[in-house]
Amino acid sequence: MTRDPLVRVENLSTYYEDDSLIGSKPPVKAVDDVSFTIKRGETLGLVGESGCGKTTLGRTLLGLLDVTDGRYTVDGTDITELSSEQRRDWRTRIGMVFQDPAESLNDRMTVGEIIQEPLTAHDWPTFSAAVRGGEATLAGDVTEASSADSPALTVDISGDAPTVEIRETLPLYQDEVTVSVDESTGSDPSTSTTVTVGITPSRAELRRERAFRLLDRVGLSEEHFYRYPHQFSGGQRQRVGIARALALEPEFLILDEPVSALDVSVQARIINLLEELQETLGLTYLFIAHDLSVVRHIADRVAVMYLGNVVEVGPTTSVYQSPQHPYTVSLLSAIPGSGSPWEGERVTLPGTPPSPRTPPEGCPLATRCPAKIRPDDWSLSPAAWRAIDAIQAVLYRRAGESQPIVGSITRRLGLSGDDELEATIEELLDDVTLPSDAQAVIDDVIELAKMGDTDAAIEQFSSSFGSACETDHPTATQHDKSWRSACHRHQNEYVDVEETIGSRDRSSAAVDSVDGTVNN
Amino acid sequence: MSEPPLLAVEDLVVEFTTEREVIRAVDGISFEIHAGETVGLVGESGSGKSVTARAVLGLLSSPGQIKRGQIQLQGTELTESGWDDHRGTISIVFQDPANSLNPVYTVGDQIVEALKIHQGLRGRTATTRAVELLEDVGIPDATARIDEYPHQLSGGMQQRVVIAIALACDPDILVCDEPTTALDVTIQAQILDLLADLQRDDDLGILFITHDMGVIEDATDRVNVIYAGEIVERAPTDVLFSRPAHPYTRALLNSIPGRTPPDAQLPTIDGEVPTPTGPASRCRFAPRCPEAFAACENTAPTHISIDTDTATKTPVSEEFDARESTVEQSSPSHGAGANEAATRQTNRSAACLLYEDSTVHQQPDSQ
Amino acid sequence: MADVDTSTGVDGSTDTTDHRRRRTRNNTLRGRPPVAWLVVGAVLLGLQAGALASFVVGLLADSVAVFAGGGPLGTVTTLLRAAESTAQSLPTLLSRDLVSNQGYWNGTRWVGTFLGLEPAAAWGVRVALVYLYAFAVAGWAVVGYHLYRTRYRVADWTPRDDVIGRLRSHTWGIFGLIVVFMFIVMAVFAPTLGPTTVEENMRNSYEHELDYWNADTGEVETVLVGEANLDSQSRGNNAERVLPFQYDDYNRFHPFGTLPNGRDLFTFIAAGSRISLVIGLVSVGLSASVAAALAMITAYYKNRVDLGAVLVSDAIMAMPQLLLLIMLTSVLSNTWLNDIYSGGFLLAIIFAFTGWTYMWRSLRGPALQVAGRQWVDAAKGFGQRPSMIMRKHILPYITGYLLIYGSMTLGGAIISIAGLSYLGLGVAPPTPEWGRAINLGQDYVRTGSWHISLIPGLLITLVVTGFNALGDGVRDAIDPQSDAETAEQAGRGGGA
Repeated sequence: MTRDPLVRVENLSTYYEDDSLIGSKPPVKAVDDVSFTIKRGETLGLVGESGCGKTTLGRTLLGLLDVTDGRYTVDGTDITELSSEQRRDWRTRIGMVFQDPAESLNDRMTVGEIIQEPLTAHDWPTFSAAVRGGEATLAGDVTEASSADSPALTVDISGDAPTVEIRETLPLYQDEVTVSVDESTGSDPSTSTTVTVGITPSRAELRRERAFRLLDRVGLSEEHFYRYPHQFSGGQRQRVGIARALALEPEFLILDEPVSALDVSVQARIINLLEELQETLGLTYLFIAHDLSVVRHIADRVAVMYLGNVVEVGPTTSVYQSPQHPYTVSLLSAIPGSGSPWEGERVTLPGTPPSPRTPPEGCPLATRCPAKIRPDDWSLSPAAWRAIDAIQAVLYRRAGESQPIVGSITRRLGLSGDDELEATIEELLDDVTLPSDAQAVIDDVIELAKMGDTDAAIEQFSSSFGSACETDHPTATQHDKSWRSACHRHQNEYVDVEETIGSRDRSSAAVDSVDGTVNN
Repeated sequence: MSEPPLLAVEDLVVEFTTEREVIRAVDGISFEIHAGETVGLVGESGSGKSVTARAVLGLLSSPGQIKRGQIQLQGTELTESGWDDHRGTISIVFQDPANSLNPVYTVGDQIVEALKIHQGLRGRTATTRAVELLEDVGIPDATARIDEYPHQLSGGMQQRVVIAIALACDPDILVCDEPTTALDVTIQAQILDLLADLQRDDDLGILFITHDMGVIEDATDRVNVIYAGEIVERAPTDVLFSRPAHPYTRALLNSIPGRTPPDAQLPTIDGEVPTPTGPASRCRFAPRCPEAFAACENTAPTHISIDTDTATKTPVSEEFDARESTVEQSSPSHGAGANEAATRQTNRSAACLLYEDSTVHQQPDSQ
Repeated sequence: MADVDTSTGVDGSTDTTDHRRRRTRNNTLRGRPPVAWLVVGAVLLGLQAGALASFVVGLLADSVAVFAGGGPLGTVTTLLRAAESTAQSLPTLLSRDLVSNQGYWNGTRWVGTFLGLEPAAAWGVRVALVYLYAFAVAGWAVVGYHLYRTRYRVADWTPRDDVIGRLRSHTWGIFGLIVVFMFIVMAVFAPTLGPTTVEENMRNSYEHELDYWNADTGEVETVLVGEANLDSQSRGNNAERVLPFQYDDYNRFHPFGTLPNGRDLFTFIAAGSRISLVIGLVSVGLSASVAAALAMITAYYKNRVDLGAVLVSDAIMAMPQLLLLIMLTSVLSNTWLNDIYSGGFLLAIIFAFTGWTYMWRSLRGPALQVAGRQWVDAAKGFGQRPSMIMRKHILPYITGYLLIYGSMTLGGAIISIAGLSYLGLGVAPPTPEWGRAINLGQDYVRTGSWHISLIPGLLITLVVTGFNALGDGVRDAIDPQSDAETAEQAGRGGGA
């Protein structure tokens, strides 16, 4: 097993461009500057909530979406540089298992056809052969094996009688391969030996045989070959999906929420199957999921994504026991039930994630972070800070909205004001008394927002109440050989994440943790 | 529980009549909900829990129909009187908020519609109340949100709106059918907190239906475990999770990945959930039960009360002795007297022959 | 499964014959061949072998003749024509010769008719035979499918089974299917069904003679068919008019009466049905092919390709179809296109050219939906070629919609053709067409010759309703939201 990682993703970005002919909007930054590696034989779990970009990342790695920026290599080959024809060949080495077992299988095809389809699409098997023990040209049903792939057959002509070695996964038997060596008495022995290999069963038969074997491997039986997906349960359909993904003998398998749509008892069986397959076949998994308990069980390392960024990546046990990034903390703490790996208090994030079309400058979690850095110039009560966070969330939301044209024009002309915004902000500050300078900033902000200039309002707000979290994008801090996270608090000048969350939590006894507003 | 329950379901049977067969989706379910408590109904797909929710709300569409059973809402028998007059007392929150909200009406319109029907409010009073409701469910900037369309809100926000609409009629009981399954885990945490707050403020009774054991553990006071249309175990939540009595419950809990160390294989249950087509003539879980024995194939088990404090009841007859090792030892005082356990009033029961005793054979009293 | 080694689960290493036995099993026939069914099929085929052979050979000859001038192709044509006439001389069951209804009364009995029955009865027998044969063939095909499904097909259930099951219980759809079937039989067997032939009664009526019993003289006399027609004209309330199911003075039976020019209406209708069907099928077939192919391509590639197709189809839809039709018909009136079917083929082409847009628009929605499903992504993921993805993963899901819109468009095509012929713009005389019959009889609607317009009108209504009903039936059958499925799913609640 080589030490080099099998999969290496470097600064990968996938943006969805806006295709409209008139007035294009900024692109959706679904995946933004993501880097990680996966070693051969290991499972990397990829967790995050909806909209974080994990599904987009999975599809980009499969090749369904085009990479906007960055590169990614599998076993040394840079996938982003391949031509479409090369990419098609390379697709045999990567497989994908999709989320919804009801949707990922074509209902009009039998299970047998579904599993064989990747094989027929790539004209499997190609009987590539290599000769050992002498120079010879190959003839018959085989073609010359290129140096890159391992040959299906290896003919050894060193001894008296030629022997054939068949690659293990090929459903071919010794007595179905005939080899004849023809040595003509030419002057140049290196070119006159011809090895003719004949193969009895047809490709179609071999494909069918392979499909039967795959069915067996995933725990289904022969009769299922002739049935339609409609006749199976969800767990069984997912097994068919796994069999299809394994058809072309891939090394790398991307699993996009493979067990999310299944019941917990069925989920357990599929997880066991996946683990067993990984061990037997030496597969490498990218396991995308939103269920953290499942990921903890199956993944060796885990990467946490938020708004298109990988915020933390490291060994599963380490990350789950002592998460370094505030988002990881809140994610782990939100797991319900006693089976949760988190033992502390629940840390809820207020509000909702911002739109990936307009991600915040600086840290993506800036609008909701439970450990956000607060500027030293102000000495405000925790309640006041929470109110300020809530106001910022409201401003960001207004900025992200598209205002009706008439309204925005009248506002710019000063004919009418956005009174609603003022009322909302006042309400948020209802039970809080701000020092006069802070209040002055708020009043300025309100004025700017009322005139419709939300961008300026946000800027004013950030410059007064913001910190590095708003302005700078955090760089990753390496905690360990394979463990890193991206948070400003990792720098020495700041109090670390765990302590901050602990201290803020203790003072939040009487707070409705829903959105940071203060309720009695 | 001294006060009468808000909702009492007794021996509910729901059948679906298709061309080929008759499916008994719900087969003799009984439970109660009192004010201020959250009762959980947990089971996997195919267990009949969603059908139960719809039956209780009178939302069963053909070919499903209630074959027999009673649904008592604050004393009124709903199967006789119909649901029309009681729609304000009991509300439902469905699973997928995007499907529950009408995409062509604003959020405000939809809340006002409910207010109009149930409270008779109109115009400005209705709008004000709608804004209040949105604030109650924790939506910030509610005055702006009132005029937005569902697609402009995130999933969590949409579900809050659905809860607001459900609360618009000022119900006494809220039925939640997988309300957080379609949501992210952090949003789920928010919604569960919200439901807990609302229950505290309004003294609601909540029926919480889900397949997620972790959510059940956090969100409910009592749990009913449903399998193939029958309730196989009921217990207070903490008791169920620490001392599960029914083999199905135990197997279900064991399947949760969080309860097994990462390097070990997950314990699984062989076989598939059966689709019941007639009244039970045997234990429906028997084919898959690791602790099944001969009698399980012949007798349909009825609920046996189990003392809340004991681990599990020690089987009495010698036939069961071989299985003692798989059954946790109960407290010593229990060994002699199945009678004792039976006569004690408990909140805990399981429908399993492991607890069967020839002298004690009773239905659980009202819980 | 005792015979398979599953303990290790590793491919290829164990060499047992059991593994190999698996390989030879495929979709071969299980069980005995269906002898009885095959024999019945042979008998049915044999009864009409001659007609079938002459039709096939004739078609070949016609198509070759279109492209031949002289030379080598010319000899091929002559050979084919010779083969055609040989085939025509083979005896068939449903021929005019065998069950003839053209005879005359010789004072004591009918001469020349089948079994000496009166012409009406003989004609009735022949029509009954034709339809019996048609239903027998249809029944034989259904039995064959049933046999295949129960005995020979390896899969014990396919999604198509549910569709067919739903269609079988859909009364309105079955009604439509029967009407359409009978219409097609009429078109296919048109020469056999009419009491006389187009050749004899309409085209070359002055070159054929017939014998009849002259009631005045009490003798058998001979007259030219054309003259006989002149004496059988239905023009309003005149004495010679022949109403439906009446004989004219020349011992001829007219099931639908006669036209104002004396020709037999039923023969006219039967021949016209052929024209309608052929034009309808050609135009709908062409539109459907174009629409389906385009729908799949735009659904797969989306974005610019879709936009381009939308622009083109909008441009075509903006053109007024009727005016375009008139213009093109007159512009192309002297070309070879106009000669085929007296302009019918040209009509079909123009309908196809303007009609594909509507079909494509209807298919575009479902096609886009299907193209977004996960199995299409999965196929792209393992490197399946676009053409195969379109064929295997998208096409099966839009064929249902194709059938629905196709059957309804066919009904629409028939009405359009009739309408155009009524206006005089469609198929040119003397090729029969239903619309023209209505035109011919429009002056007499309120008179004693009401049948001339009414009967074709009723038939058009019936046939088009039949097509629409069939479309309804197919639509309900392929609709996945049908009752049976949702009920079961609701009851089961989904499996594990």
